[in-house]
Amino acid sequence: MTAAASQPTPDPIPARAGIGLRAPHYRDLLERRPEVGWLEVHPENYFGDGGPPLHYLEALRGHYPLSFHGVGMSFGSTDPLDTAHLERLRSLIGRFEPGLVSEHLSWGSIGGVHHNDLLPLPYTEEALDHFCRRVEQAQEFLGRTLLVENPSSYLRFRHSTIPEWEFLAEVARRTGCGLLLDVNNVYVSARNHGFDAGTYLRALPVERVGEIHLAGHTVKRHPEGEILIDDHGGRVSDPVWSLYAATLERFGRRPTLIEWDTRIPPLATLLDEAGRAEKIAERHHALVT
Amino acid sequence: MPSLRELQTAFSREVFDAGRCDARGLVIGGEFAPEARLAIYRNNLYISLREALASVYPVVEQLVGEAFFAAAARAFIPLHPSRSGNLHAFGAAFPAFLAGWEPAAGLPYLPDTARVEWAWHHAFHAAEAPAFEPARLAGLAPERYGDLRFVFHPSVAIIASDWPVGRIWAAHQPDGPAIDSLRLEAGGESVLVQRRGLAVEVMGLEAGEAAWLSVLAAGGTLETATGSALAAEPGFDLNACLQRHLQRTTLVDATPPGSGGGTSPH
Repeated sequence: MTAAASQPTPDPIPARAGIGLRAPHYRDLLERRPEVGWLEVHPENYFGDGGPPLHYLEALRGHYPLSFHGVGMSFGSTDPLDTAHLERLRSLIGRFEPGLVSEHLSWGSIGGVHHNDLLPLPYTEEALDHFCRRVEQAQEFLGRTLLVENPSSYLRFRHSTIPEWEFLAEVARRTGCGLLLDVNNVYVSARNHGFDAGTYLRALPVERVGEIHLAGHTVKRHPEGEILIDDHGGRVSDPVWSLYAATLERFGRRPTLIEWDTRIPPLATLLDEAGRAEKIAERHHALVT
Repeated sequence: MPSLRELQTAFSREVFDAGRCDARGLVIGGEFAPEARLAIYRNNLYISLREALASVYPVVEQLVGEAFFAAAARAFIPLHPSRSGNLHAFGAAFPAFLAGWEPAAGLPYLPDTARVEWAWHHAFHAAEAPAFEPARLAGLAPERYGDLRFVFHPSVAIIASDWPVGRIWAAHQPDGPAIDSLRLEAGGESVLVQRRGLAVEVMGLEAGEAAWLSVLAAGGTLETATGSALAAEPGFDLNACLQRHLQRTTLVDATPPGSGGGTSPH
């Protein structure tokens, strides 16, 4: 990957816990400036021309390293690549110099209609070629390496021929992209589809994982059985904390984000979760050194 | 085996419309039937877009209640789906949709209230602009002031309504006046929606001021605008009105005669 040498050097994201930046916390964060490793935003929320969102992001950027986690690029979609979206993203990257930029292994639009959701792909050779081409185009356009995140899902397609973990590892191998390992998504999909989370983790190349995500999910109980919904609306569950510890054993300490997007709690709750992630990482570090 | 494009088309159709069954044959069942799995994505789609609409139209939601709003969103979303990977433009058609949506026919003030909220949303994300520079008019003979056209702050919208939309909007703000002071029969009102600094303001306009701003916003000259304002309100005070809108940065620039028109607001 040819990262443009002329680009300003962004603050690197430290291998510590960070939190997702959400509008209800702008003022609280600015006034209190709590001890937290870094902040992450959905760049799409800053695609406007001005106003409070950009104002607060600018102000907070002076105090914390920043990461961009895109949700609207829709790399898996067969619609033409949205160059207007990419241009907007490139200009925001130039302005805020995020340490990391990530997107999802998913699709979201067809025929110009957007679901604004992270929809599952069929894991076929056709989809693999298509997805890799899109990641390469975007990396070239943006002049930087992206991280691609493993999705959570509620269904699988009959004609998929490649396990998701192999598909993801192959995307990294072919495009040179990094990986964003969402531990909650691995857990949710493993439970929903009955695969072993350990198999998933072992399939991913250690050196490519540049970031970890942790989030809450909801267990929905139906007469037929249980299904886990990845709603980012609560604390990280105990089994996901355990899987995080196993993740640290394989991949070592990585920048780890507490993601919380619905039913947003007070800032203190997010900081508390970030503190818990730090403690687990420190304990792991003490054990291996 | 479907192509990736065929799969995405089928998936999207069945997720948008519960009456269709284009995609279920492509999905592995197991504990849950394929259609139950697809229904999770349908649920996510309609909930997340309803929440996006509710975040732009909180006053409309308060006026009609959560259940009625959800029904309106359910009808609106497939007719005017999101066309972008970011949601800034989603919901622009909601005021026009409400005007033609039969269940809302008994609430004639609803579409204009929604227009005020869309203008608020636009203003919130609009670009900043520097205040008016009086030096821009240096060298222009006073007798030619009447030919001036004005450039509005990018956040500005002017909304004229047969209903008291500014008062309806204000009564549904957290710190707004009591709702029982609101009289629909009080007649129509024009409002100015604008961001100043970080705060979006919704301000009721006097008849002359509203006419004056509307003409300027449509690209008319100061002289034409003032004529309209005096026709609407014989006591219209041009000097006070001009000072006020320069001072509050409604107007951020002036284009002297011969240099082409100003830019219209949103």
